[in-house]
Amino acid sequence: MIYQVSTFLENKPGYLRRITTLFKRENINIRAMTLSATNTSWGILSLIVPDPEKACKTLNDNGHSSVLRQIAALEIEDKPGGLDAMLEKLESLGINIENAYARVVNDGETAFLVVDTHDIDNAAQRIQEAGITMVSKEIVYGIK
Amino acid sequence: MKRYWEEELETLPRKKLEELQAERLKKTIAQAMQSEHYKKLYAEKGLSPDSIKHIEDIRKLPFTTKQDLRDNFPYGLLSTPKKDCVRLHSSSGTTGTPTVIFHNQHDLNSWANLVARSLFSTGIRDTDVFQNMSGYGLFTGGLGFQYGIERLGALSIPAAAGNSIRQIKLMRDYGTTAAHAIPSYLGYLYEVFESEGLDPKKDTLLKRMIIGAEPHTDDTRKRIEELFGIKAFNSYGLSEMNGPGVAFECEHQTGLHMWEDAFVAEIVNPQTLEPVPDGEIGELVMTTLDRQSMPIIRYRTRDLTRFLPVECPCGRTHRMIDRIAGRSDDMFIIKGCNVFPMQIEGVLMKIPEVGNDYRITLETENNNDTITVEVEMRKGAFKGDLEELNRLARRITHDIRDEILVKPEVKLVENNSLPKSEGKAVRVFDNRIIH
Ligand SMILES: [Zn+2]
Repeated sequence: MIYQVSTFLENKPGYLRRITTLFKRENINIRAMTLSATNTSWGILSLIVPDPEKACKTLNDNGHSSVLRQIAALEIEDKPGGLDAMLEKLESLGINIENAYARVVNDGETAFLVVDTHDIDNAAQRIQEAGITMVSKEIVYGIK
Repeated sequence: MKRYWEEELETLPRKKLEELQAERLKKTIAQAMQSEHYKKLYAEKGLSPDSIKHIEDIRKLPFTTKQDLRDNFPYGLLSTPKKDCVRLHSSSGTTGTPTVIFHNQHDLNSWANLVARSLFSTGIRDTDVFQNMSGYGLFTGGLGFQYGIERLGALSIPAAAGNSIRQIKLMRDYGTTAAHAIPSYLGYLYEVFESEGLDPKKDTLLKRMIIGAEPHTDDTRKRIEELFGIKAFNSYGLSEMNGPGVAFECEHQTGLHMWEDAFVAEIVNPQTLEPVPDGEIGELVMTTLDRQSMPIIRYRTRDLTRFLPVECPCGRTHRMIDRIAGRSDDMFIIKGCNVFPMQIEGVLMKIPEVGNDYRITLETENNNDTITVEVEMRKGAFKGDLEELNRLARRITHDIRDEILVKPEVKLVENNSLPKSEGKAVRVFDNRIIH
């Protein structure tokens, strides 16, 4: 199972920097991140890191409420239309995406799409049955 | 079986009770006019006992404030010769002039009787063992309860405050069944029980506790009741009105019966000083009706509460007030609505995802008053779901709007990120431009 770290973030100047500074100090590499904010005063920062458990604990220990959330990482072609094709497939499977963000892998040919959705187990099963390639934990975390 | 401490007085029909109040108020005015302060004040205004025909005529009389007590320190309100007095209670007065109240023997007897009556109404009897975990000395919660417990005939343990290990030992050695303490101490005492490997539900005989002396929510009371496996009764008193035994919850816990044969209670709008309708929150104004050495008339307590417009199943006719909703000094006005921080606190404490601390900020934006409530989330409440956070914020906004009639902007903030509320934390920041 693959996890992202989701952190509660107050929408105030310097708050995101607090986290990046903390990660620098703790030597935690951020592989991918996305910030979802509403028009209100807070948002959620989602992070892909090599060791999610450690990062989550570090954040909580430093007063940033964080949780691990299971995600699915789907392989997409790193070319025009690659993402569109994937989203079309997900739509046809009736998977409603809460949050999604993409990352290119170093080989320059593949990219993966991180998908965060309710009822992830059910969604993952349907994705697999539809023949979509799931990217391994090692590739997502960048520890291969 | 005896149901009341003083059946006739406690169940006196309202009309008779008000007649008794009017008669005692006349006496009180006559007595008060023996003091320098009231003699001068009432002479200036042409007031005398004859100004009172009905209890509502009390509104003709001027208010007494804490400042009046300070200005007349120490003997300006004394209405009997000093020789007649047998005890004084005083505020600590570490800063500024203390407020001091003198009692003669009649006053102490009357006070002890009111405390005994209060305790009896909660179901405490002469067979109980009562441990008073309140500070003794100048503070009224010590001796005030002490004499009341003795008057009731229960076995008193004058344990005084603090030393939790000894408190627990006393409870277990002597089979304490009833106790008095401030609510914030009981949370701490429970932790000591736990660290001693004891469970107050199993390892003590406690059945009833009296909690008071600091404002607390009904949820705090419920938590104390669950932790100790007891019934907790709210007590209201202030040293200017003796101390404990002014208003007390009976065994039905429906509100605090104000002992109206001994006091006149009024609730007024703190701005206009006009009475508010029953059920509406305002400042409690109190008058002693059975005190000789230092009668005080229409004292502005600064405590906020409301009359509960319901009858209690216990049959007592004395009106009930609600738990104290804070201090009138804490009140603010926004968009024409009077708001008390305790109202907002009450809403927040009902929501499980909300932590202990909050902060209210008032600002002016485009000539409009705005209210922002920053709310700490409880540890573990964050699940990584944005929609869930939005729902929570909407719920808090809605519930506060329902309570104070003004829509706040709600900001969720990190657990433990607001200044701690130990002691008297400032919760309200008023940054509005004054027009
Ligand atoms: Zn009652």
